[in-house]
Amino acid sequence: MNHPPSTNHRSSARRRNHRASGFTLIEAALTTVIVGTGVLAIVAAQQAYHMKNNWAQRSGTAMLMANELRELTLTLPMYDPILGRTNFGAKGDNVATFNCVADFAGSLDDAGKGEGLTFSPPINAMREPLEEYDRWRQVVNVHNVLPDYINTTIGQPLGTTDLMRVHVDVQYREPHSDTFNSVTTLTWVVTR
Amino acid sequence: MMTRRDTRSRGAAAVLAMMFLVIFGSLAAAMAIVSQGNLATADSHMKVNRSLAAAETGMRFMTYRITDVADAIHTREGEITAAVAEDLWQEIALTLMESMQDEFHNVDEPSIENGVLHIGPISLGPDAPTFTATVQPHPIAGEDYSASYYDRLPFSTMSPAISNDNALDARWLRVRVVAGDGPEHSRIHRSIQQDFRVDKKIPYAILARSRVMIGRNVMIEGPLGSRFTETHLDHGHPVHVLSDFKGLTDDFDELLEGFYGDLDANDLNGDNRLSLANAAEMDGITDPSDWDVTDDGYISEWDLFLRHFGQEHVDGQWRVSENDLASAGVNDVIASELLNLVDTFGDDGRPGYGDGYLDADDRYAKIQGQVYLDANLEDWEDGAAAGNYRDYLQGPIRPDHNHAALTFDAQNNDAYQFDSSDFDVSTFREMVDYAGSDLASQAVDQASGHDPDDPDSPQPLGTYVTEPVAYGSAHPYDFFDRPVYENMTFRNVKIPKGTNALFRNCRFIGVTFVESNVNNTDPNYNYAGMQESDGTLKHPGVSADVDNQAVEDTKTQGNNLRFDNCTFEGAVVTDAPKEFTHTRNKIAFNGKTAFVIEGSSQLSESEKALFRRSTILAPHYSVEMGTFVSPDDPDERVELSGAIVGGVVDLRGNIDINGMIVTTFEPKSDTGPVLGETSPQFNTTLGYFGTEDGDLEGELPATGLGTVQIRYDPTLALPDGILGPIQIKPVVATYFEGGQ
Repeated sequence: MNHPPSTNHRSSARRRNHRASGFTLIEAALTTVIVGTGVLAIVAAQQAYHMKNNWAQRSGTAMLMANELRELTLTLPMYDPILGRTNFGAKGDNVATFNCVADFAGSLDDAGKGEGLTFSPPINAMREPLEEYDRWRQVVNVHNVLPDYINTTIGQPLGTTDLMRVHVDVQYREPHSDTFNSVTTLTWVVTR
Repeated sequence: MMTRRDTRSRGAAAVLAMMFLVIFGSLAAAMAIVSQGNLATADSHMKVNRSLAAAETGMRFMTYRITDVADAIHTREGEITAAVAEDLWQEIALTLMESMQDEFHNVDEPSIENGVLHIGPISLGPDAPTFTATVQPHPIAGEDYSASYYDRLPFSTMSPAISNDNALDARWLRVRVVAGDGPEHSRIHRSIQQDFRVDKKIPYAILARSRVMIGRNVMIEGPLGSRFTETHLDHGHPVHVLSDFKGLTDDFDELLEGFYGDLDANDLNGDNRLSLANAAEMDGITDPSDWDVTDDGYISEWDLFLRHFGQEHVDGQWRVSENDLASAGVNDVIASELLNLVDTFGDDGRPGYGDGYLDADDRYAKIQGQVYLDANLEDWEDGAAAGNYRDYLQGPIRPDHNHAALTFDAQNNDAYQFDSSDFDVSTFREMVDYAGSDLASQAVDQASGHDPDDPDSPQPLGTYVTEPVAYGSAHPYDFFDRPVYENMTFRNVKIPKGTNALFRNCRFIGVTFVESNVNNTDPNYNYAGMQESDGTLKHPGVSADVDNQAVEDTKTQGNNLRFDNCTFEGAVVTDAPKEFTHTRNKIAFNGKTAFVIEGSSQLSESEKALFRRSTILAPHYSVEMGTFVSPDDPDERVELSGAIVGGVVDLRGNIDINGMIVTTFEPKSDTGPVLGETSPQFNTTLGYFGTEDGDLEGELPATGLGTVQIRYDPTLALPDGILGPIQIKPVVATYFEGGQ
């Protein structure tokens, strides 16, 4: 406070000039850090949001495909009206000839249970293949269930009860991947 | 100036950075909100769909369980009134609750609270949605019956209209299913409600425990059921249905044979039609739409018939006239009968009814309903059919919406296994339980009024005729000496056992009660006293044990009656014998027979209501209508309504039935009256067949085939006294998603 004013003025001006240039660098650095962090964060967030949106989109598509099968089977009888509860699985996977829900059980294993069918590409309710959805598939499992145990995980041999549980698992394969992952499932029970 | 600029520059970068930060932050927040919203939307969409599927599953499951329970609840009431339904509800609720207790999928046990049955929650699987259901009868407390919901079908057509002053009654049950998916905090629910109707019906046009034979010129509207399973026997076809178009001309027969080949190869569901919408059924068919001349989406022999015999009168519309058939070489009588059969089938207000042409408006199908067979297809084809079953089941079948046309190994018929003990005819017996109800006293009174100059006056008693049974049959199996009652009117009359009469030009008002000994289980009952045409015994020395006594002629125990040109203003009801003995217990209707209920001036409204429910109630009796020999006779016509119940029923000639046919006798080889492996000979026959088809009574007449039209009437109530299951069926039009 006792220094000559001129000297003080010069030195404070120097200090001010010196500080001004130093602050700009720090500011630039800080700005870079802030903006960089923000950009990185937003890129990361965007990836997460993309994944979420993809999930949402796929979930909607998968549910649509599951419902296509539900609609297809809605009006079908449980068993072949002509063949009755015999001769299951003889139609293979030619869905055009399917005339009952049991046809969707696929070929039978030794225990008489359906091994399931896979539609890849998936099909719609009009039994038409959806060629543009080549990364998707519908895996259908049809099992008989006991009338007093419809939530069982162990199905009964085909044709042995009056109730059937249809389980559709809609799966998606990422680009450049051979592995299908389940996107959504839909379960319903049909009765005679 | 420099200092101020520097100062501004120093602050700008930080502010800009902050602004970027704010912008980035806002963008990030916005993206987070959007993507989170997408997630929530997709999650909700998934839960909505899973919940809805679970709710629909719940409704189907409840329909299945309710239907199952209904089959086990029997009543003798023929008509389910509100009061009857109220009583039944207690049994329905209790039976349903008990049947669903302690089931593995129950999250909670069923209970009845304040008259409402609560079911569930029931789980559909691990991590799968659950559903609950409530079942309760109307009227429902707090329900607004004047709400717009009740403006829909079927309520809107009810008279008087449904309102708070005229609520639905206990004949209607409301089933409501609520399903939910997801954890408790984000669970989404969907609900469905549907009203069910409590009723008692036998939902068939024909329900037979024996083999069913349906000949040419026979059309049926309504389901057909056959419980016959001895398909390994000669002629052991559970049904034998002939095409109405085969045999018209040789060239058309050739066309039909080609089409039958297409059916063998392509018809997947057994409806004897090829669906244009099904690629597999169209496999190898060229220009299918050209063949579907009726534009109904199917190719059947009806389309082939119209295209072969008809003419295109407007663009793409084909029709056939009697002249078209005649010019193609079809027999005049056959052409006329075929045109009459198809053109006058159905409601007289339908398009094209009786317009003199066969065309798409007639919507022909041999059977307009489902065919349910207890028999197994493989057994049939390995046995009686000796190949393709279609050789014995011809003609298009048009099932109801969402129903299979043809079902083998059917369980649908199981609930309706009526035996003679299921019939309590005491209501009708009480109506003839008065002095003067017996046939003799009523006949004697009228015979005294005989006028020799008036051939239409009552004829004297004491006249007998010897007739073959079956009357007019090419192969009669017995002969009867019948007392004749002619030109008489009987009112609430009781015909005692052993009468075996011929009634000619008689009128019957009220109940005509036919008595017979019900203890007819001796295997020889059919044969003791059987005669040859010369009166000698067919089986000398054969007697039957009846009520612990040896009876040499069982004609005295039964009643084998023939009604010729008779009018019935009421019902014919018989005792319910324990066994089917067709040679002893038989009623035959020939000539111009009419059952007049609505137009009767002799019946009260309550009597009409009673009789319109059944015109023939003859359990374990052989019922035969029409003529064996002259179907082209315009005076040979039978008109019936309501439930026609018989042991077996044969209809030939010209017959219209608005109701249903139920047969009670189940022929089994070496059992009861069936000697050896002859069960196919005990059949229900509609129309004409020859002996080569296993009909041992008739042959194809030379003068036409007549017409038989049978239409199931779902509005008709059953007669009281039949111990049968109730029905609880969902009324599809009441299906409603959401609601309270």
